[in-house]
Amino acid sequence: MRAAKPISASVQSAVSDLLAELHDKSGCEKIGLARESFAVTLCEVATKYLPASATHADARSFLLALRIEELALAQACAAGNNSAWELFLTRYREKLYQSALRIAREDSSARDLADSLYAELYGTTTRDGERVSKLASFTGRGSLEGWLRTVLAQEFVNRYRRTKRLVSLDEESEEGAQFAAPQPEPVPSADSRLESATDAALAALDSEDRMVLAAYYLDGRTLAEIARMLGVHESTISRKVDKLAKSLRKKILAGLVQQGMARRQAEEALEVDVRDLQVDIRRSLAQDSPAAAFSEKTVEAKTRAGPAVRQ
Amino acid sequence: MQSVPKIVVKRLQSPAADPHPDADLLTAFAERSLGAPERDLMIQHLARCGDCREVVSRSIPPQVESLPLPDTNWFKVNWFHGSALRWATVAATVALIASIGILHGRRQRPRELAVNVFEGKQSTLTPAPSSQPSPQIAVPPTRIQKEAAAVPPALAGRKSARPQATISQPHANSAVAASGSLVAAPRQIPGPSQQVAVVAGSSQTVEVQAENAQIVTQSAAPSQIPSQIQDQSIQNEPSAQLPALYDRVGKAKPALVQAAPALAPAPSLHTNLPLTKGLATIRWTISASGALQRSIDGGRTWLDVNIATDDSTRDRAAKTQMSTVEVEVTSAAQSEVQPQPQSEEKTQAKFKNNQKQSAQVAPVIFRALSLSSNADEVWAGGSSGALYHTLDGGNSWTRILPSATGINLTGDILSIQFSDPRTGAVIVTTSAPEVWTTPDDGQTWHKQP
Repeated sequence: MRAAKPISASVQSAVSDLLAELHDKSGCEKIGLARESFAVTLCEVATKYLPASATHADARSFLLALRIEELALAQACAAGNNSAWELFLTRYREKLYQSALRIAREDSSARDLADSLYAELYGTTTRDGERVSKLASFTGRGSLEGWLRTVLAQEFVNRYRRTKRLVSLDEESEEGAQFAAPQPEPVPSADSRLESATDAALAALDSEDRMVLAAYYLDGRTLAEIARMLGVHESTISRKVDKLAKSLRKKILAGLVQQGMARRQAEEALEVDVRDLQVDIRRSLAQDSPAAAFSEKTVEAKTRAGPAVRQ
Repeated sequence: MQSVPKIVVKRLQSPAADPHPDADLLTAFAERSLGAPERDLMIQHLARCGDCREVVSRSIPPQVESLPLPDTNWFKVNWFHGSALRWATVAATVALIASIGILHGRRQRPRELAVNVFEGKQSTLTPAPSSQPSPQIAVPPTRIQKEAAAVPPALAGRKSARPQATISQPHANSAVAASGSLVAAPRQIPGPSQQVAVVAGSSQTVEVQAENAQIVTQSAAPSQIPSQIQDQSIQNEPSAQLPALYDRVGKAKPALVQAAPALAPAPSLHTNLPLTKGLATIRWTISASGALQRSIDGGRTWLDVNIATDDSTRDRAAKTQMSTVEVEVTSAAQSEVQPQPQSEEKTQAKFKNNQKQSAQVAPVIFRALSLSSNADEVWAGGSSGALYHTLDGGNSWTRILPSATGINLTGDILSIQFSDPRTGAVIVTTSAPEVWTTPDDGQTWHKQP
């Protein structure tokens, strides 16, 4: 179930230190979770997230920051305790549907989404004759409610990718059969110099800046959405995007000039590319990104069969 | 927003190299409970993984609002460059107008004195209009002069009552020094915030006006007044408190008021009617004495509506302009500023005309009122079968005399009801008792048995 990392001594000592306190706080008794199994859970969680070099103090503060009560509830539910499950339902049933509705933005698919998550939470899949609940993977790093939202969103994105792939395949065959369209013009200037200059400029970016750029230009998120993701004000993001776009442009131009391109030529190479930017993004995004199954937590080697940009 | 070259977007689509973070970490990130190292790792992943960005964006809790972090670039704005200064001027002007409006609203004695000083002065400079003054403008010249004479002690008294106005003044009385301190003033503002900037900006404008006031009052008033005003106008320290500012606005006002008659057309009591009409919906009521009243400012002031229609013609075409008689408008500006003689005569003429009309028509005592949902269509009814109808919010009224097969409506109208607002069907009940209905906005009538 969890990563098989050896439990370090500092984690173990911290857990045994805090077990009494955390056990009281978690309300384990009410939901029938034994103290020993709770200790095992705590050790596993701490081992999963803490680096091997973590000290006793690190482990302590980590454990104290966990959502202990919600962690205990999730564990008890996963273990099949009925009173825990009832408590879970009273607390989260309504919220689950509401969150699904907000994520899917459409009633029927929201119900579908929430129902399938219910099944996973209850544990319809079995392993060695034992019910396996998705709740067992909750570790209390964030709130249980937030975790449910995230799991819903992951499931939604997975499905969206799947249907998107189907749709785009359909489109492809349709287009191929009915509209034997002339080959799209070759994408202008697949100039290796332009690519390397762009890559260099992007590589020089801060991760957060890169994330903001990708979210805005690639995903088409609004400034407000990005601001909410990062917990800053919208105007901050607005200024940042503006500044980044300008400086990127400058850097790419400088890189091109450095590679021996004339200034004017470099500008033209960039300008050609700016055209029909808006049309392209979503389409190429939809086709390029393979569906990665979150549950497997693996990333397939993403091979891209050339630029899938259709004009 | 800037666009970026397409190549940038293309190269941003690099696949994430590391495994996706689990739902717990994504949740903790969305709830901002990750430690710095973990958050950095997460952002590194999010920078390259569109799927995880999507998940985070969709699972942001609804109640986590974006935090209004202090805007760090704000401090770098140079307030004395280009647009910033322009906007400050605009803001200052707005603030000045607003504060003058507020001061007009309150009838305070000090302000009245200040205005009367101005008026007294004006009467000495320019000959007073010889035409007869309108009722609400009548301020006997003797009173003006008396009050003007009473001003210097009052102002002097105020000077001593508020000593910080003069004590905190480090500059000499020269106006040049004053304007010098003005330019420097906003730079000394301790904590930059927009409100402070506006206050500082408005004090700038106020200062200019106050100098005008000084010039205006110099010739008329004794020597204490100029020095007093000068004292206050020079005081432009950023520490100036808001009351002091308002005080100076109050003093500066005469200068503005004096400028107003020259620039704007003479104020007339009716000029604000079309202006405010679009802003608030018209409200209607019937006063205790049976007069139909309407309010165009959401119920603060009510004006009698005099439905003066020609009773002899019975068709709907007989529409006369609704005339309003000012009853209780309390705007100080309107009553204290003398209108130009020409328009005043016009107002007088109109006023008399209205009086003549209303003298001929016996006053209708209204008892029933009914409005359509947009308040444009109004029915009003009252004593001895008086029934009026308007389709344009009361600007023009039509007297309706319901009759069917030779029978006329009798009695006082007690109630009017829209039975179907879409078609204009109305039910009228009278004291006779009779019930009259119209299916078509009063074109045809039926008397119910």
